[in-house]
Amino acid sequence: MWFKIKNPVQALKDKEALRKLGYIQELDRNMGVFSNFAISFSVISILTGLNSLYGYGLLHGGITSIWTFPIVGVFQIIVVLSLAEIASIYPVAGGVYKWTTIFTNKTVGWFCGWLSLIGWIGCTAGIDYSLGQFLAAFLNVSKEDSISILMLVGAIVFVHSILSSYGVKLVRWFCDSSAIIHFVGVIIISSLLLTFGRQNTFSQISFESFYHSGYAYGALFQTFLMSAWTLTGFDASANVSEESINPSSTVPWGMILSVVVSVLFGCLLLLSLGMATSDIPGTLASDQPAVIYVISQALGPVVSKYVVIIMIIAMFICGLAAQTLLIRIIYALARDNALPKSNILKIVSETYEMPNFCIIFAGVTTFILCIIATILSVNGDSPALPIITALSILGIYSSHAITLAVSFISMALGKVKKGIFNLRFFSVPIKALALCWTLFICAVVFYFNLISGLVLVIIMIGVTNYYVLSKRHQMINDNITLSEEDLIRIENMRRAEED
Amino acid sequence: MYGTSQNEDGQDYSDILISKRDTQEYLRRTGLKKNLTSSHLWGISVGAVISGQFIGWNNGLDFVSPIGLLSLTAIVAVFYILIINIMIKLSIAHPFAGGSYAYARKAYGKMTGFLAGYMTFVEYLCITAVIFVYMEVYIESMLAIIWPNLVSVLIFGVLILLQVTGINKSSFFQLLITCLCVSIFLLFFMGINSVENAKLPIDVFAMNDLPGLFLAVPYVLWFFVGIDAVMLTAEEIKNPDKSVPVSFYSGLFTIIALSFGVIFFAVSSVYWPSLRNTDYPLIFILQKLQRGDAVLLAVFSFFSISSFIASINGMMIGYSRQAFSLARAGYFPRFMDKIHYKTKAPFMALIAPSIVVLIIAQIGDTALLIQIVCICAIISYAFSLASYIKIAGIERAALLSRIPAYIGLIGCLVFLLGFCVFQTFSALITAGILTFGVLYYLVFSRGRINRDAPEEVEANLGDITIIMTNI
Repeated sequence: MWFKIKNPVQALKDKEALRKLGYIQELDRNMGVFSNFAISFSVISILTGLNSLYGYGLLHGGITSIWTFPIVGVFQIIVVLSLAEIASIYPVAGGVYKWTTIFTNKTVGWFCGWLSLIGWIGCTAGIDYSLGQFLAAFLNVSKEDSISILMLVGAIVFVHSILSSYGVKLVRWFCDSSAIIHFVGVIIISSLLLTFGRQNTFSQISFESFYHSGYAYGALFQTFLMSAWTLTGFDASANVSEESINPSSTVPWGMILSVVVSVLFGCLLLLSLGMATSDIPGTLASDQPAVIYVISQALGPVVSKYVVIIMIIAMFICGLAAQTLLIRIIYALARDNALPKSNILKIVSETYEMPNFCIIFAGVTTFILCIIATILSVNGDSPALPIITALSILGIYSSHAITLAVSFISMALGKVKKGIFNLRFFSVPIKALALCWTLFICAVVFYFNLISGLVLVIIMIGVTNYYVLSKRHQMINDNITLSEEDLIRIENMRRAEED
Repeated sequence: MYGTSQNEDGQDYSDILISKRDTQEYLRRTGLKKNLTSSHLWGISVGAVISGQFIGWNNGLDFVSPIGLLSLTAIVAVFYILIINIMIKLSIAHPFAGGSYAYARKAYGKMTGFLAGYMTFVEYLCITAVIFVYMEVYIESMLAIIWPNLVSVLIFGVLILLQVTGINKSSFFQLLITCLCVSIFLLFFMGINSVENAKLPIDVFAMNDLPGLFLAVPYVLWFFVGIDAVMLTAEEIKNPDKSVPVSFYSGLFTIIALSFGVIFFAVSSVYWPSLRNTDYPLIFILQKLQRGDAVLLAVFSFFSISSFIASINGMMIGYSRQAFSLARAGYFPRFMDKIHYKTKAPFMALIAPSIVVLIIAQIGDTALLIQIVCICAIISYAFSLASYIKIAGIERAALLSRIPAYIGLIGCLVFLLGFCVFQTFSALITAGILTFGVLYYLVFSRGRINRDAPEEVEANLGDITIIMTNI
């Protein structure tokens, strides 16, 4: 990447810091702030989140729903600030799962890891599903034809898995260029829409119009789903802590920048879309996803196809990045024997140096979730995508809430030192606010998407059973950590191998 | 790899010869920054020639039918595959900014080396001038912006500034804008495809006589000419052995695919003789087919300007590196070998030739300039191919087959013969340019050659190796 820093002294320091936390340097450290920012930015992917759920927002809150994005954005910046503080103290791979384990004990960490895992499966499934919808629209398949969309999703998951397992270099290259594609894509789309597609005046898309439109005020809370789902995924940076140079400062700044830039660009995209949406009933009744309909009305058949291709490319790369991170999370959990059949999952293929069973696990669970959501949506009245995304939000936000709560307690008890990046005396109020916000979002999403809430509850009941039956014993006894001598011995062995 | 002093008998003479280490040491002090990766190189090679798809080629339809144009493109594409194949081997063996100058200097001595570099330099200057003229007219006629001359000079100035900030940023910009251009072609093909009447007019063979084919050659060469500019970045490539073949071939094949696509769709979607009278064939076609889609026309004509920007930027990399290497070795005035202390960009070699470009652009006769460009390019290719044959003859182990080079050289000679017979005026002007080069060398450069320049060190090393082999 651009800002690659090659500083041997810093590398040694980072290695030493990681050793103090009880881990050995296994991965190559070469990521700077920009790389960290890029990976989170491409997983957040405004082009995926906003485009796929724009129709949901229109349905429940009209054009006014776009104003939920800056509101959610501000609060998510608060959340990311408090999580960045934790990332600065413990720059280890594994994200929330590792943090909660360090703050409390393995049991809390284990549950938090499972919630986060479910959230990430939902996140990947949501991206793949919306990509399937967009591809279907591109191929002139109706959005009601759920079997065709599922087949497309299956194909996408398959391609992603094959790429992850055989094309590590290609995946890396895609993820590196992803941030640029998102920047350029948003700029092209918004400038085209603002130049050629402007239908509404500013007052027509402001709160004033909402007042006259007859939507219930509660409905606006429902549209939080769109903004809240878009602005997840910044713990991607935390997951690559062990590959970053000077992670105590690059990872926090990577996370914060990715959210701030996403909020700014997302506002631009939503503003241009809102300005171009003239006919809401027509948009909702059309055969395509709402965004594609709006764009094709505004830009004509040819240019709109061109724009949709940009979106599809961005979504494809976003899905790839999300799946890569999902594989890391599964691997991190399997390495600590936290998943069923962990001893199989943690096998790393020698030829391709990838945990191939984790890749299969990720692909299969993603696809199964899409199938379940489709079945639920056929019987109920909610479409499949909101079910998946709500599940993803519930998983990720509740894992954030747990992390924030335990870190809040630990810090209040004075158990942890401050990291390089810290909020000084704002730390406590910001953490409290962030905790309230994540709980609030969980409550809102749970209330408006009961199906997803029930799915999560059922999964968590199963997970608790699994814990009680087979893990509890292991968790309580499994407190063996590596001693200082062991670390030195292993380090020496590694050095001997390198020579 | 040749360049080391390893001989056929396996002995290492590096102790008694000027070693590769000296070259590397000199490069470290006066060389350019090594930053380019394969994707950057792809961007430079495709971007440098992509404006050829937008402009100029339709003049070939004055002389041949669409089928003739397509078959001529196929011949020229094969010719370029041969040339690029050989250039890749040469540029990996000689990773210097000099390009054809470095090869010819090694094979045939100073004067030939200078002439090869000089002809390449003139080629790039003229290409830039042609694109500049087209851009000026384009801004005036298509975008209807006031003060087109001022705007184009401003764009030119901004590009120079970007180049001065370093190859890092300029090549990244080049990659971005090239991707934009390629995506614009996608838009063009989609725009044409939504109208269903594509069918190649194969019934027209009327003007496929030999003179017609030769007269059309420059306009087909125009698709590809300048793709060799990327060879001059050899000194700045991070990992040449790996990235050079991948990126150069992928760049060339992108251009081949685009040119076939453009000709095929262009001539089959409208009444093809009407393409003769337009300056901007692609926009002309879209205006005919998609008259109702104002957004498409506006978007396409606005973004088309990125192709001119990409090409000028790519050509700037070409001529600045050529001028820099010739100045570093003392052939050109020495003030041009200054490198910016921070960004390592050869800024004087950027600014001085750019002024010459603006002067050439005042000639304004693009057809004449295109012909001159093609003749210069063919001469420069001929120099490179001949150098390859000579060098490969000496060092059999490193550079294997010489047959492609012979075929390429024959191709060059045929093209040159055609130019001399059918484009006599341009050939005469080019001969004048060449004579001026010879005189310049004899009067100004001969006594001032800097033996420390890496190309010269390499060539002198070669001389010694040749002597030792003969012993």
